[in-house]
Amino acid sequence: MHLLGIDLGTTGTKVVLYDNDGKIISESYSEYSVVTPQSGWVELDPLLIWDAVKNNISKNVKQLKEKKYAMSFSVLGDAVIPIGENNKILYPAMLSADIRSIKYVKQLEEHFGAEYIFKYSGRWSHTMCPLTKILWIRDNMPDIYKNAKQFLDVLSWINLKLGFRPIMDDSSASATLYYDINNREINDEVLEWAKIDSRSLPLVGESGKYLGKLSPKIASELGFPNDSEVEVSLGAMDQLCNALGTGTVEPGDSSCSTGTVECATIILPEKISDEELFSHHFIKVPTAIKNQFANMTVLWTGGGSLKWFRNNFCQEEIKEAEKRGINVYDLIEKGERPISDVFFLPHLAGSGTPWWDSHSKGAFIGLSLATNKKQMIDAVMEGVTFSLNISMKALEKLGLEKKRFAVIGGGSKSEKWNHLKADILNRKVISMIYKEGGALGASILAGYGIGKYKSMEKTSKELAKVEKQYLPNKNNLQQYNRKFDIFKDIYPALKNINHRISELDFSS
Amino acid sequence: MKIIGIDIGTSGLKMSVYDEQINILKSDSTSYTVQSPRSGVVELDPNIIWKSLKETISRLFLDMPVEEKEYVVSFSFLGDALIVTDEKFNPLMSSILSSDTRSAEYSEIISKQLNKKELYLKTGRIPHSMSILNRLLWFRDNYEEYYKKARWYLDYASWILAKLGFEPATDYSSASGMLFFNINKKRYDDEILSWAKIPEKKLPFLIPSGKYLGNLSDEVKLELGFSLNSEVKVVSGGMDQICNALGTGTVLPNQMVCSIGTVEATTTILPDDIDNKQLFAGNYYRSVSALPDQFVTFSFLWSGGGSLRWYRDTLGYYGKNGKESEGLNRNNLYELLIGEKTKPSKEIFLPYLSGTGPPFWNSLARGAFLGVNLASNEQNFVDAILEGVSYDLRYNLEQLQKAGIEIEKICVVGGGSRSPKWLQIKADIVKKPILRLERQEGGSLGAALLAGYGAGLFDNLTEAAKRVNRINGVFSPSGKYEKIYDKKYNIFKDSYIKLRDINNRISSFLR
Repeated sequence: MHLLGIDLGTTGTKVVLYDNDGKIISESYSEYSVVTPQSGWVELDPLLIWDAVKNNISKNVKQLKEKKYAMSFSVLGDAVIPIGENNKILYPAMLSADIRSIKYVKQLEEHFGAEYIFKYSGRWSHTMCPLTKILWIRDNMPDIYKNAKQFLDVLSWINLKLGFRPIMDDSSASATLYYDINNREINDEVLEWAKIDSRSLPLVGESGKYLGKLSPKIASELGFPNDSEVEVSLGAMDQLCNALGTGTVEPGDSSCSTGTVECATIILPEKISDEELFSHHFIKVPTAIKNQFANMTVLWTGGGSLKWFRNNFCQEEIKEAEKRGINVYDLIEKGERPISDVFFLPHLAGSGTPWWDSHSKGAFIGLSLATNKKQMIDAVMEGVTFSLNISMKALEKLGLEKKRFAVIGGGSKSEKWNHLKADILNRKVISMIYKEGGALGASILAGYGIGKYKSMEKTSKELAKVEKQYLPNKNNLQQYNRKFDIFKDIYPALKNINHRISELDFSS
Repeated sequence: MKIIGIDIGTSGLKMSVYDEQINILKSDSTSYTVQSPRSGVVELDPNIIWKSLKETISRLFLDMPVEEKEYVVSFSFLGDALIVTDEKFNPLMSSILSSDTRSAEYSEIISKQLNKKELYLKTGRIPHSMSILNRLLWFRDNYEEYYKKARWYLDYASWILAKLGFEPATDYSSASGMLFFNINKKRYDDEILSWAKIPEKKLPFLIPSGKYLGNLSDEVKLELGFSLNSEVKVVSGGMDQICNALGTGTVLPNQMVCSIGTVEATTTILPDDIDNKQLFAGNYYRSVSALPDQFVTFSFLWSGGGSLRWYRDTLGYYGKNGKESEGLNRNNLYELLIGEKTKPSKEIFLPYLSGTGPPFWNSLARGAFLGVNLASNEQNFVDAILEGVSYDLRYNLEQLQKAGIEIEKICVVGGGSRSPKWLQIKADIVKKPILRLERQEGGSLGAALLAGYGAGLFDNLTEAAKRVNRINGVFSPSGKYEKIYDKKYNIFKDSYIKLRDINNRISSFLR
């Protein structure tokens, strides 16, 4: 028996093949590109994902003798794909970062009120959410809307392509804004207001739910050896697969993925109430584990802030790194230096959680003639981590225990960044041997669905292997605390200023 | 007769020789560096200046026509320095310069015990670590022995005259920075001196600028390298910004000159009917100019061009292209300033890398880049700096206008005035014509005017100053992007306020 963990991301698809004991046999990855036909529109052709899925599965399994497989998916959330007769794709997938539906965000909020929306969906009205995108299609592409049989997300669409009914899991459904996460059903009142037929929406099931076997035709299209038995289980949204893939399974556990976007998933204890979460502008998402919920933090430019700084102000270092054949980030970050008085607000593409302020901007503060580049780089990395700390501190105040804190993603390859997280969050931080947790999480769902794994929690803890642990440096704690105290007041101080900068019209 | 204008500054001494029509014949300079062993300390050894003076003169005379027998000399001085000497004018220690902030805490003491407004109406100043009063009080408390032992508490204007064999006397413009000089009565204020227990006999004598003081003795001529059969007249000089104003023809009420250097400083001639209370409300100084019964005010942006230099040294990569070793750094700074600017940047820069000048005088203020987004690049940051420095100028113009000063156009000199791009941005942002001046000799040209006037080469200093310089570039407000500059300016002003408290906290973060 082999397991396939398949990670469908915004920029590429990765397929990892595991043996019966959960050890990696092989893996394969290929990229595709999103398209931005207009500013604020972010689209992806679903067939590119399908091709990547086929090619990468095939690369891993084509030559094998093994005949028994189980697979599942870790999926980018929030997309909308309108499907017509014969499952024809009527329009490319509108992705999470697509902001064309801004008008409907306000409409929804005005009609139902933020508190009501949060109560059933655990979410805030936002352009990310599929419902606002469907409304945009309704009013702006009436032909497509008329011909659309269904509005799927990537997970339900992939399941459809695999020959199953279009079904998504609770974590994916929670983002739609029409799904009631507590009663696990569609909110009819909202659908009625939106004039959307519930039959046009994907089914919803629990992550790890067994969907069935692939038909021989589809199995062969995906490159499985003849007569293979391929069993498929329902996947989950990427961040929740990350959680599973890092052993983040108990209340108080967190996994933080630092890529371009930095996103942390924090498993919530029951004692933190919806009212408290709402008052802090947090979101509440079902995890892959039954009856468990998590808070998710998002900073759009996490690693992206450092990359921006590198590309614009570190040309010398880039050349030097090329010459010496080393990683440019090593050159930029390395070195012990005192904590500086420079601050960076990492809102280069808006604020993310907990403010959801898309008009916020980035800022360097506290500059003096004595400020140097290394201090500014430190400020960028600190600013990203301080932003995370705002949510962590608030959750701790509400009673969140400090349990496991796992870091993954490209940013977790940086020892400096991991140390910084330990110092600023004032807790032990662990890095994982396998830094892309999504595929591992998906393989756990695959094994759970066929009954190979009895407990997601137990399997997750067994398979997620720790690489290294980072402990807070006592000498830095007090200074970072003081620095954080100042940092947390920067966003409120600049909020109005940034909104005014946002409104500036540069077209004339 | 030849005129020698000598500009004694913080970073060097510049000397120019002129004919009687103030055409420049020759120039030379010697640079030196201030000692700043730790933050807040800025000192300079007076003996280095004296040595530089001698060296520069002897170099200048190497190929001067020998038949020239008549000279007149005057000076432009760095202001507000404190030199304590024995009775023979030997300095007891290094001079303490105006940017030394060790006496900052005395501002509060002075403000508490003397009425700040009355103090201003008499002296034209508000208590600040720049003033000699702060510095003397600090000196008294920290160097009691020297304070008592010293025969003289001088500044560079009076010390140089003493070294030349005259009475140690400072001119009214230099004395304006003392905080115990009554600018209306042109004498020391007894009340302040007695409060501070400063004995008047240790202070310099007071004289107007442009006054003929006498000729150099043979002994001094020898020491400086003049031939013994020459006649060298000495005329009292002025403080650097005052001399700079003269040399740029800034002599009539409501005229402003802006020097775009590391520090961006403006000097504005005050109209006679100025409301001093309004000036005080905006924390603007009132200083004696080189012309009789005329007063001026200043503004300072401590890191004007200095912000660009900081950017270049910290983040800049412009034009290096592997040629770092060829010493292109200076040119690189200029490269940042040339080229077309297409549109206002989306970013906003607060140019307070070393605090603000008036009206806030906030030494705890900091610099900031705001409005930063994923598309922000090097050029955007540089443009934001060019704009930010200009918004600060606009703010000062607005404050001065509130005090009743109507400035129609601004003359500019200094390194930054070489950049047409920057001058156009300035004109568009402040919405006034920017006039670039041809002669950029700064203080030494003003000193030459004072020398010529003192020697009787012309009877009307104002008229002579008006004729001496020429405009070689006019940058009129284009009205392009006016709306967006206006909006950005308003955001700029509010950003300073919004960040004030945070910057105060940041300033104490490392303490």
